[in-house]
Amino acid sequence: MKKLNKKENFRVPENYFSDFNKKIYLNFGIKESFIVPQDYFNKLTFSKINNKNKSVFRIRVISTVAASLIFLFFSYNMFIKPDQQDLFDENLLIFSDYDIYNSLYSDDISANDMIDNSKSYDYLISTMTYQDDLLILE
Amino acid sequence: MSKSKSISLKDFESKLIKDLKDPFKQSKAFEILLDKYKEKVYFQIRRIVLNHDDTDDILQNVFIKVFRGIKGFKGESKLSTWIYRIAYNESINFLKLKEKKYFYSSEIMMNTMVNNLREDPYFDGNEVELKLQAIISRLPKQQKIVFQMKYFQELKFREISEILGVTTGALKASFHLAKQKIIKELKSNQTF
Repeated sequence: MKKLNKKENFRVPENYFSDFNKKIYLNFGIKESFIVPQDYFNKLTFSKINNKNKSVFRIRVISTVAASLIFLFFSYNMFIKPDQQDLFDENLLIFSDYDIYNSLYSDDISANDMIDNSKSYDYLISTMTYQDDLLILE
Repeated sequence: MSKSKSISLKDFESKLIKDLKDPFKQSKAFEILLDKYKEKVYFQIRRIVLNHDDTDDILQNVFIKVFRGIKGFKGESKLSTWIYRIAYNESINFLKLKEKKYFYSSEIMMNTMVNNLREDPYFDGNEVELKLQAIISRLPKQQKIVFQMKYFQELKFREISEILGVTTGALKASFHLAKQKIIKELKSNQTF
């Protein structure tokens, strides 16, 4: 039998199919149940977001600077140790006669690397004792 | 008619993106963007985190990220899809942080969140609606998100696919399973 009209004569309400799934649930009495405070969306403006953006940026900068300062403080204390600076007393760096003598006649320390040999030789000659003479003669 | 409408929408979006990237027009364009998307994004987040205060916080973070990231937006997806993706990621990250903060498993946390709805002044649901939220909260993560996006937000599977990075086939299957579970549990007399 020849079809008289291929056109669909039955019409459905607008958005019927898109709302079809929803209707199944609406049969159970379900609706949008989340509500928002009055005027919430009106108060959510660009300036509010922008202010928060600025404050977030400020907090990040402050946190980064604070973290860097803390890092520097601990690094300074760990590696430079200011409480040990007292040990570098100027007087301790001056060799006593005994140190110079001990250095020259000891195999452990190469005194030649540390002192001006010509000056120390003159110093030794000028301060030479009897026992030093004996040692040199040996 | 619908074709011309879709073209004009596309043109509107292109102009909006262009203005958002222009330092002189940025403020005005951002106001337009905010007006257009704030409600939709709010409810997308709200259905995931359930609480208004948390939603408000996340929503503002989402728009800050949009504001900062718009220069890098290449237009490979729709602007709305990009914003929904940011909102989804922010909401999920928020829940993960909350789980870590309170040493909760995700299941316990979701139960707590749903139970808190009873006392929430911004929840206007009856027992059936509370039951629906409880059922949704018990769904596996993907089924839950797909159901919320499809049923409440009425997004297309193609859009959801772009937001979640999952194939439309997998999404359809997840939605179907979620729907079956929800109908089955709503029909039963099970209480939560």
